[in-house]
Amino acid sequence: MRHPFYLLYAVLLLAWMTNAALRGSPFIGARVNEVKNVPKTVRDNPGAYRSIYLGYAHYSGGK
Amino acid sequence: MTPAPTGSRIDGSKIKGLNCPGCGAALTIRGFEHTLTIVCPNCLSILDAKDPNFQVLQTSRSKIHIALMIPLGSRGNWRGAVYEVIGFQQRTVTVSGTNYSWGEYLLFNPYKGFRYLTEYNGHWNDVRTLRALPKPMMAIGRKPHVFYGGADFTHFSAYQARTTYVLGEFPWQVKVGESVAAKDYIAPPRILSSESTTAETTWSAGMYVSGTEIWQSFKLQGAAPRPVGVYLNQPSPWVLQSKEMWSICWVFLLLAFVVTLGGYVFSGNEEVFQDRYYYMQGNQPESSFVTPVFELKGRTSNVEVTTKTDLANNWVYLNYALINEETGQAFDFAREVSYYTGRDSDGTWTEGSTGDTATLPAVPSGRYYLRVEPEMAPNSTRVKYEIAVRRDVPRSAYFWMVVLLLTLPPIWATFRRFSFEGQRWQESDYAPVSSGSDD
Amino acid sequence: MSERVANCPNCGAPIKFLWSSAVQTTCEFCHSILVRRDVNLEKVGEVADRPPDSSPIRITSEGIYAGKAFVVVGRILYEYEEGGWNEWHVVFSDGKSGWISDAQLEFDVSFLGPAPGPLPQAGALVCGNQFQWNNTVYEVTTLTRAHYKGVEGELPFVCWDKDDVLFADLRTIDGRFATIDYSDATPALFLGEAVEFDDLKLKNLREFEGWQ
Repeated sequence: MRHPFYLLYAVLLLAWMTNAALRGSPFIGARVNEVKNVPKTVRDNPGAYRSIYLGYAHYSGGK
Repeated sequence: MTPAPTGSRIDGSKIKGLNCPGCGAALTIRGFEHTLTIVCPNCLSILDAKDPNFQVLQTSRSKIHIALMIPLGSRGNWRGAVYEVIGFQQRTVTVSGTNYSWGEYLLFNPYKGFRYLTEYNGHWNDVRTLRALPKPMMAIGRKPHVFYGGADFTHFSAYQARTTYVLGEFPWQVKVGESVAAKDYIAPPRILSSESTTAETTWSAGMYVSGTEIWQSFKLQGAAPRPVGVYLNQPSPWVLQSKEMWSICWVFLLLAFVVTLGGYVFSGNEEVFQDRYYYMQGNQPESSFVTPVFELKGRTSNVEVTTKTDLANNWVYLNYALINEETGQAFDFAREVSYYTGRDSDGTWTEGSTGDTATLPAVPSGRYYLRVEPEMAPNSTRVKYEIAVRRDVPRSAYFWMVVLLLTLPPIWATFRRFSFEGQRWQESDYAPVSSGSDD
Repeated sequence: MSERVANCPNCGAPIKFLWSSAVQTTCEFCHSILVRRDVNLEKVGEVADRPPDSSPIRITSEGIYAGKAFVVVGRILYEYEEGGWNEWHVVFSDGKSGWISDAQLEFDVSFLGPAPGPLPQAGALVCGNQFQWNNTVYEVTTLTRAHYKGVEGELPFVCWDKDDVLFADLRTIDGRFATIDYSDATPALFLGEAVEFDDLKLKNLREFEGWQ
């Protein structure tokens, strides 16, 4: 066997893919920020929640 | 009459010592009676070893001595027997005004016979005379080739080889300046060479060997010089490498396909929430709202949030947060949906899309709601948008990512393999002429 | 009428025959060339200066070829412009006679045989000529004008003059070998193959100074 490393690499890729098929993958998908301990009061007052994505300046225009 | 015992009247088994008639230096003949010519190591004159006075056959014009990598007289265990280096010849070919020289070491064993070790730029070959005739084959659409010993040997080059330096002993006549018409045919690691004079053609068969093996056999000092470039019959390290890599690649691509297929068959892919909303950008201080709570059942999986709009030449920016009602864990993300369309001289054009899909990874099961905060350019018309949430969605993107990453190394190995062969054939009669050549 | 022991007509030394069909032999002691005529041995010449040579084979060496054991009983030393070679006469356990040629330690075994086709005239041959014998293509590889430099031991024919004679060597794709000997008016064809030293499993060989 000349390529123990490539075999290992292939095994790891397959393992990653299987995991992605089961749970999804942070590398392929939306850019997501995990936030912890969001208080239950947000349901009553959604404005209190501060997203880091707030105030995004956007290029507007056509072709 | 007393019978005279025979004794050893034929005595070609003793080592002979003699003196050079040119300079008086002491010489030793190691090849017994096989030696026809011997070169004085001191004055480099070529002497007739069969002449009782060792007549000088050729004097050396240049007194430059070449240092041998394997000194004359060295003995080594090679291919099952002890061989002694008894002669050395440097041969040269001239291509486009440049001289390329290689060395040939003559090995001798009084029972096994003669063989050669040839060296060029650190590449070594073990060569023996071939007493069979390779069969020339039809060469339609390919280079000329000959068949021998169960293998096809492809023509590599034809050239005039001339002897430029000799040292030691030879079982035939040697002369500096003598030239032969030579042809090389390769089947790496093997090589067949023919040498022709007007009288006859001789074939020899060679095998590429490593300098390290020679250094070990002959117990030489230091290390063998590193090979430079690719030699004509040097075996390619990339053939087996790339073959093996591709085998592993195909097996794992198949496995990945099976797993992906399994994913499509067995994933839940259930929609857990859907609703329609409207937004109008005004001066409201707060545009955010929360959806009703919905449940994500089952194992931790991906979650897909799809936004479908009725945008026309506008954009909407949505701050999303998927919040677990019980644990307070939130997945914060933002999506920009924009769609523009128009007409110009090329026809109708569109840019962007009215819909958007975001895939969130590894969302644990639980009760969730979405917090949504839309934003649009001022004075935009009202946008209608639908939000749908699905869990455990199969995606081919994971498979294609694996295809890409898995095939890169074998593609690289195959590229190296072709590059190696390209380097090999660069030295042949078939090398593509570089466009910059001005000969 | 095979005598195993006789006396040298020249010096009286005992001559022992290794091979019952020997036509010619040499006397170890006085170096006379002896030819067997009926019951007696007749001296026809002398081996003068037998030149030194370095073949590892000697008379009484033994070996195996094609599964059959043989003994080396005689030799002819040839010389030509660029060197020389030995033709060792070997006899197998069934009495069959064969030849092992030793040219610079390259060994070819061959046997005298009837020609499968007409043999070319000496003058007509050039290197590269091809002949089809026994469904194999033989190509002329070497043409040598040589003469006997010396004889020793038992030979199947009378051979001791020193005129130049043409020898044509032919080879095939699979290592077979043929040689056409133009010593006599009728050319003689020998067919065989190239062999390696190890293949012959030779014993009782010569020793060389510095090689054990």
